[in-house]
Amino acid sequence: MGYHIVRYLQKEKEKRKLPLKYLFKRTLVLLSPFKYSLILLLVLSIIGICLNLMIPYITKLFVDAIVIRDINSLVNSAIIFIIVATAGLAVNYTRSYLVPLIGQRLMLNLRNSLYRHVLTIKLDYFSRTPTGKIVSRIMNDVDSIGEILASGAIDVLSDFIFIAGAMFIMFSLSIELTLIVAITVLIVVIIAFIWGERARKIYRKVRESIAEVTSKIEQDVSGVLLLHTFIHRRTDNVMEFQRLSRKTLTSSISAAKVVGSMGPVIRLIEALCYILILWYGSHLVGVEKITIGTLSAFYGYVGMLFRPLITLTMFYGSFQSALASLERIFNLLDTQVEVREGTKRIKIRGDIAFENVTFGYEPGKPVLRNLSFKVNRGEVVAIVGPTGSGKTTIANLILKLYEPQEGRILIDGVDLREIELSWLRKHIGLIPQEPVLFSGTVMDNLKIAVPHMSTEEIREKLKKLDLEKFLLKLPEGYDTKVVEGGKNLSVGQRQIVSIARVILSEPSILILDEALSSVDPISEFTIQEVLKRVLQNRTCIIIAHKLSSLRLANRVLVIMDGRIVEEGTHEELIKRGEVYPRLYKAHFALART
Amino acid sequence: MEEKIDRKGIRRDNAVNRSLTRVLLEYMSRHRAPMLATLAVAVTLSALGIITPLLIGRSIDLLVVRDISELWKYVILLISIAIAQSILSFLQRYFSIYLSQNVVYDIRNQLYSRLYKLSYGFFNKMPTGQVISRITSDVDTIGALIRFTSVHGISAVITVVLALVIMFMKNITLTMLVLCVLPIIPLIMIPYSRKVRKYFSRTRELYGEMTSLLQESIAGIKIVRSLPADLVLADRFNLLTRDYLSTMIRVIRLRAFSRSVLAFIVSLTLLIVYWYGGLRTIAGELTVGDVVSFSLYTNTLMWPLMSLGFLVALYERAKISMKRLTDILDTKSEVLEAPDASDIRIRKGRIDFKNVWFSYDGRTWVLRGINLSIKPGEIVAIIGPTGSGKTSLLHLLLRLYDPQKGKICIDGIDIKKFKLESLRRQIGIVHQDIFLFSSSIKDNIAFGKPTVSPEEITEVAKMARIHDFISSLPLGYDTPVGERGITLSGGQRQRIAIARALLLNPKIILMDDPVSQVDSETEMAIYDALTKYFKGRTVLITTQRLSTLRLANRIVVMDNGRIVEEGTHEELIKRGGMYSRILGKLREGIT
Repeated sequence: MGYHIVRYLQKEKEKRKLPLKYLFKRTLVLLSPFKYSLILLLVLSIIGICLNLMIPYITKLFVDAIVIRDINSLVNSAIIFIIVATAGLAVNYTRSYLVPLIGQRLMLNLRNSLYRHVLTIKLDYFSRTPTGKIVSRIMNDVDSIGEILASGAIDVLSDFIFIAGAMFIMFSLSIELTLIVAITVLIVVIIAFIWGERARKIYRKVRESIAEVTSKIEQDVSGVLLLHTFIHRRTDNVMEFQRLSRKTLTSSISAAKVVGSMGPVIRLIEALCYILILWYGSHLVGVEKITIGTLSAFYGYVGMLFRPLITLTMFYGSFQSALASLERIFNLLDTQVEVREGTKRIKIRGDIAFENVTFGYEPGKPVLRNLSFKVNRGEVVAIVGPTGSGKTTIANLILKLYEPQEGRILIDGVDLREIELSWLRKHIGLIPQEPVLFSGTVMDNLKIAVPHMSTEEIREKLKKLDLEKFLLKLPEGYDTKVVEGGKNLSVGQRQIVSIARVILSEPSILILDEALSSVDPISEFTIQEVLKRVLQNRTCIIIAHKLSSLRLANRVLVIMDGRIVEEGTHEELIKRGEVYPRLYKAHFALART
Repeated sequence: MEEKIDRKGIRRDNAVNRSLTRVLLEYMSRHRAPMLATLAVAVTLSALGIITPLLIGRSIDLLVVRDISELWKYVILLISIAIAQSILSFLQRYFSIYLSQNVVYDIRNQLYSRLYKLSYGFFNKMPTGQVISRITSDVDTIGALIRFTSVHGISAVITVVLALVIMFMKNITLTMLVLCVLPIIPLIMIPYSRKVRKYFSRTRELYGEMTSLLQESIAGIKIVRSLPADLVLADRFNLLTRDYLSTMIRVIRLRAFSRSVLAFIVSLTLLIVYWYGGLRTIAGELTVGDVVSFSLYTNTLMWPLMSLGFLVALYERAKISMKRLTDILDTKSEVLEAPDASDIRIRKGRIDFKNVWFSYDGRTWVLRGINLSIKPGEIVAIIGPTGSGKTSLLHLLLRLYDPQKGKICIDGIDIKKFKLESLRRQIGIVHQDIFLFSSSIKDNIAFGKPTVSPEEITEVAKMARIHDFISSLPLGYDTPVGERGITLSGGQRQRIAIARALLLNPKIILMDDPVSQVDSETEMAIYDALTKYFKGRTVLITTQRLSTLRLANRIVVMDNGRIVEEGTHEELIKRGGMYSRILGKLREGIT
């Protein structure tokens, strides 16, 4: 887990739709908690620039002092130098501490609010969007904007100031030499820009090919059981891997050709610039227009100029992709959340009523059609029917995971829409067919449902319910680690943990959606005995494929194509039902023998 | 060959002891030409880098005495050196990437093919993520070491030595003074890199935890909302991000410290050079040019000294990575193909388990003396509580593991006489945990037989009762599944896995609780279709569903690693043992 998402970022386009101005405004809002740190950073940057700019000038003083053999000015230069260097130490430290710090703080804020948002997005968003894509927003996209957004602006600004300052001082030292520098700088910028774009494109290709190899490795390691089962495909798979792997090899070598040539070319131009300055500067020294000290100061300035220039040019590219990430993050933040207008906290006793409910996940494709039924408090009702008949949808609607398009649902006579959402869900427990466990121990998973209870209280309660023995049967009991979504446990074991989790929270209404499908018959029987006790005075809806799940039910609803077609006790339905007996032919075949 | 079992219970050959340097040399020696080229380029480059400050110093001296007539020689020399340096540094970069990428390619391919040579048990002991990170990031670390050494390592050593020799020749006292300060750089860099490394691995861990919490929350969004667990989880996520931040702050602090201190040391060295050099010049012992070249040399020394610090840390990291790689490279497979193993055709499909004892960890027996004979064409259902050993029995038949005692025969031939490939190709299995690759539905069904015709795929999909669903999708059989495709329900995945197993047309079919997530009506339809298919094949089905038992000629009841009852449904009912107890309980309250 966690590895798959890498691929998304690399595949996603960098095209933007939102206007720059809008992005800019929202970004300012994100940055507003950091305004003071940002201002401090700006001030520090300017001081740092001034200090940095002084160093070559001090070198000039040194050299000049040495040439004219003046010990006094040598001493003075040394003192100034020490002061500047020490001040530089302090400023540099604070600056290089603040820049990433602001970035990281911003990322923390953004990640937390994105996560909280995701937990409240309307459910249909998740069926449209692959998990990896959402994860990639919160992890990769936030990473890619983090530091650029916070410090990028300051960095760009201070680089500009630095370059301008350096140019100014150089200009005042010697106009001719500055012109030479300016021309070289221009050439370097152009080269860096063109090359930078090419490099970005070629790196993208390299990253894509690496992602392909990584993805193959991930898949094949995760599915290693299958690879061993189909071991006769070994040669094909190894060859396929080598093909992908070779693609990475060739693309990184060709990238090395492009990217590897940029540095040397720029350095060559830089060197030529130095030599030109030396050659022309020495001419100027000869005619006594400048001193040797000035010449060496120029050396210092040129050396300091190239780095920020190249970063500035390169910044353009990373800024573009940061904007694209930013837009994707805003898009996620703008997705519709669940409706939460209800405020009532009624005492939930367990009467459920569907009144003419029509609902479909997609418009024009109703799953439930004009459905009406009642479940009285304390009653155990089973809902049976073929796949796709709408059984699970009923559960989803009671929990208000979705809202009906027509009709209404009442709990204890109150419309669901008027009840506070978290209150409602706190009192209704759902045990779904595919149990999802979270990383951590089994105990951690139980605590998710009842965060206020201590480990001892949980154990005591489960012991009383006679459920503890199942949990103790796990490899390390309550301390069993849940690895990668629970793949180290069997489906049956996961279902047991999931049942214990819900029962602990003592819901007034319990919904079992195929909750015991993978539990062995003997354990199933024992758990049903537990449920029988738990269910006293509680309303329960059982959705079932297995006939054995029905033994708890007082009443059975048979649903087909979103309508209730038959209703009654098990015995009644067997006697006079049409659909019900057909559905369970298999079970009866066995039961008769 | 001597063997030892390490802490993780992984068996390893003691004879192969891989030291990082030896392995690197071994791999690099396969690419001798680029290796030698890298070396030659590095040496030349460092030498050229050393000459430049000397030349600049000389030209400044000429300037001081206002003798410009000779200057052009130096200018031309400097220009040619600059051009040479530029070409050489390109070559250096190119060769180093060429070399390191080729080594990475070789190692990675070797690791990948080990996936097939190691036994399945190995992967159960080592978490998936661990295996993946070995093949991806650990190999990358080794590649980085090669690249970094060939670009910076070699030149660093040469540059430092040459620069010091020249500096000593110029002025011993000044060099000694500079040497008082410069060694601080590696002294700071080495512990810095180590510490940062440590924090970074912690941040990576936290990053992974955040990612999996996110994935789990989204995968289980329904549960999260129905519990409701959103507040608890938001707290948990917040805790992770906070922890991440505080670890990052440590890294940031360290980095800020080392950066600013390094800059300060650079300034300090320059001060020493100018101050002491200035005094000596005024005393007439040195020239201005000497002082300038000294200052340039200290600059030249700075980068190699910093990279030496990096190099030490990187080397340590690569050593750990190499050790992790040996887990995959040198672990001995627990399931070995006998030297005399051959391709044997399964003609009848008779299966015999003869007193089979098996344990995963060598401590607790999972199977205790299983004796079971299955006649050709028989359909046997295995039933029993979770953990009774049903799945292990099926896995032994495929030789995913070997039993510690006893033997298993097919058609009277010990399965160890089969080539692994030949054995597994003739047995179709539907595993309990279904794995689908992130490719099309078609590719998933045809995984065992990629050259199959579309008609054959449709045929097995119909038998598994998944054809109608697939046809209803806009892209049909080409619909991608998994991360970038549609999410299938448990029942749909099971049916695809059934189709995948049927396509092999195997003589023996193993099904491990194959329809647990399929509804009863579909289940019946699948079995109706399969009854015909099963004719002439031997079938073993483990199940939790009584309805599946209808299919079986014989039922085997397992408990705690033993077979406690076997016989037909009627016989078992009559006997009144465990089986009838299970049935009885489940019927209670129904009829």
